[in-house]
Amino acid sequence: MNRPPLVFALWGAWLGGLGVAAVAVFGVPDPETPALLGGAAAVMVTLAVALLATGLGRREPPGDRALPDLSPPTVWLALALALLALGAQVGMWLVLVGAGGCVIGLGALARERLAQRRALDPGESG
Amino acid sequence: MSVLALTSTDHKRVGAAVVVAAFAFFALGGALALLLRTELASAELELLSRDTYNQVFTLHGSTMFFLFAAPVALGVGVYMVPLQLGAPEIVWPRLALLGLWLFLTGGAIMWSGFLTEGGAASFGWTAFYPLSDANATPGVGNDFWIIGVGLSQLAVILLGACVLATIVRRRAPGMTLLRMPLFCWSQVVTVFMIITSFPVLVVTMVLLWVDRNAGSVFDLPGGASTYQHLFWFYAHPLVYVVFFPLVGVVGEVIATFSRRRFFGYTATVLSLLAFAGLSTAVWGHHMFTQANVENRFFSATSTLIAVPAGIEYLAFIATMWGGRIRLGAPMLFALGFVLLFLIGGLTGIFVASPPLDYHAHDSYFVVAHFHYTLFGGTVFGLFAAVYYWFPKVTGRRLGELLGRWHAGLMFLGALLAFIPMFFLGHEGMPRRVADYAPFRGWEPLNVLSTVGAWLIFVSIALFAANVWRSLREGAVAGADPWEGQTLEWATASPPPRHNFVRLPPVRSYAPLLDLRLEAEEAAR
Repeated sequence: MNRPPLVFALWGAWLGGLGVAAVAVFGVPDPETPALLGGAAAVMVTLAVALLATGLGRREPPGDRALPDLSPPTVWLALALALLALGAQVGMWLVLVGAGGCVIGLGALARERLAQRRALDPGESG
Repeated sequence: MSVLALTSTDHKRVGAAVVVAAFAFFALGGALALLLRTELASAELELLSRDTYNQVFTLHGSTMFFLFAAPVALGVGVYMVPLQLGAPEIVWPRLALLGLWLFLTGGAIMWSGFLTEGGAASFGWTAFYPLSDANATPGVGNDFWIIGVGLSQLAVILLGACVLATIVRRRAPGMTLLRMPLFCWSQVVTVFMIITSFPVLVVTMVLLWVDRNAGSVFDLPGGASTYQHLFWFYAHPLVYVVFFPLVGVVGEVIATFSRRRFFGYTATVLSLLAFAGLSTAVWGHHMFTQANVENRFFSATSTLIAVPAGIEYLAFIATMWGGRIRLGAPMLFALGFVLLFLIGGLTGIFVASPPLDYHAHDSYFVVAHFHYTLFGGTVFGLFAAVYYWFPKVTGRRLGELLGRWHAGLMFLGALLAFIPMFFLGHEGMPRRVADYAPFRGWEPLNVLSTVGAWLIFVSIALFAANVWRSLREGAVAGADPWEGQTLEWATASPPPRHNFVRLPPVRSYAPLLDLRLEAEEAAR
């Protein structure tokens, strides 16, 4: 119980077990029930495997990270995404405005990440 | 909170902004509830037209679920989980900030439907198909609702991912999973449900939008039933997504205010995991009255929920048993949560049983039942959290006297507002109606319910006054005003940018209680 991927996998197995019970014991007639429960179980097991395979399921060493206190590009990106979604209803012009905003936002985020990496580089920090 | 603060990557600012915004939506949704209750206090239409009533009840339910309960449950997590884990920050802070802004914009888009020509969405918060198709409910306000729901729930997924990643990656040295505070475990199971069920809703909203604007997605044989499966696969876990975090809060408040270690920690953690799994497999009980649904399966899973819920109730009672209980405002709200959710849980047995549900389905009985789970559970639990953690967040304590009045009046209001609905439902009053004929004799019970709703409003006004006053002249809290048991109480109030200067050793799920007990032992 003390390893996160195991908790993910066990919970996925619990969902999968419920899905199997739905089909094998109760004989659910609809395709949605096993598909939804099976899909949810598969998501959890896949996440567990991914955590194990990438090492992301392990704890990071303690300590602060170099991170900007403010991130205006993130807010920009969120607003652009909202405009993009709203554009689906309002019109193509707003979709284009939103898409353009997303490109600018992603570019600014990449620049922010670069600055962050530089701040972590001992050679650069002087 | 300045606009600049709304670009902050500090999890405390993001979490606080989510909670404040969610409370603003709670106020809006509450105002709509008062309109509905005032309209229903007497027979026949008086205050609202039928169409306006439909818009108001759609936005009331939507606001409370999508824009208040789900975001606030995660907002508290974004603020508190890193502190409880002894982490200096949240994992993926930009993603959390993105979540905050998608939530704000989603809410704004949903509510902007009121400004459109046909008004806001009017197909109910469930948007059942074919009521939600473009022929039955035309109007751009309905489409804005779909976009708003999609964005706001995408935001909840992002916030949840950050909380879960923090739990996996940033626990303090010594903090194994089984030494995490109960609130963190409640967030784990909450996010498990979010990552398995919320994407289904986002996809369903995209499909519904395509159906309305491009045609023929759910307009196929069995399409309406498929829509219900997809919607309830999200919406029933949602009930627990907005409930579990508050189970964690209430468990911690009860332990702290009983001055005891939480009883049955491991059993409660396991019960939460089992409970969350079952909650993901009960959605079909909303569909008992329709064909092609295996009622026995969904009845069995729905009834089985009583087992983990019972374990949690037992743990709450056993923690209080023999404790030196302090009846402060957080504890009063925690007790209100335990009592009112019990009403919701016990009446849930009726709707988990197909023969009984056939009688109660789509009646006010169901409205009463889910208001005891959502208002009695979520709102009372949330106020327990607010009174408990307000000193940590602001450095000042909320006024105790006003807090007690708030708790008392809200408890009375919740009983008065929702108990009559059980009887109304039993007598056959259908839900989602703007009026009823005078000869039905439903007026006295509806008047009682409306008085209860206004009593809740008075109690919330007292809370607002308490917050206003306490922020200016509240007693200074200090780092640990309650003799707390978990790590957030080991740092200053409010916490500094990176949360901790020094961490105490973590040897159990109540590290500060361990230290106090060791000090007492040494003093003897």
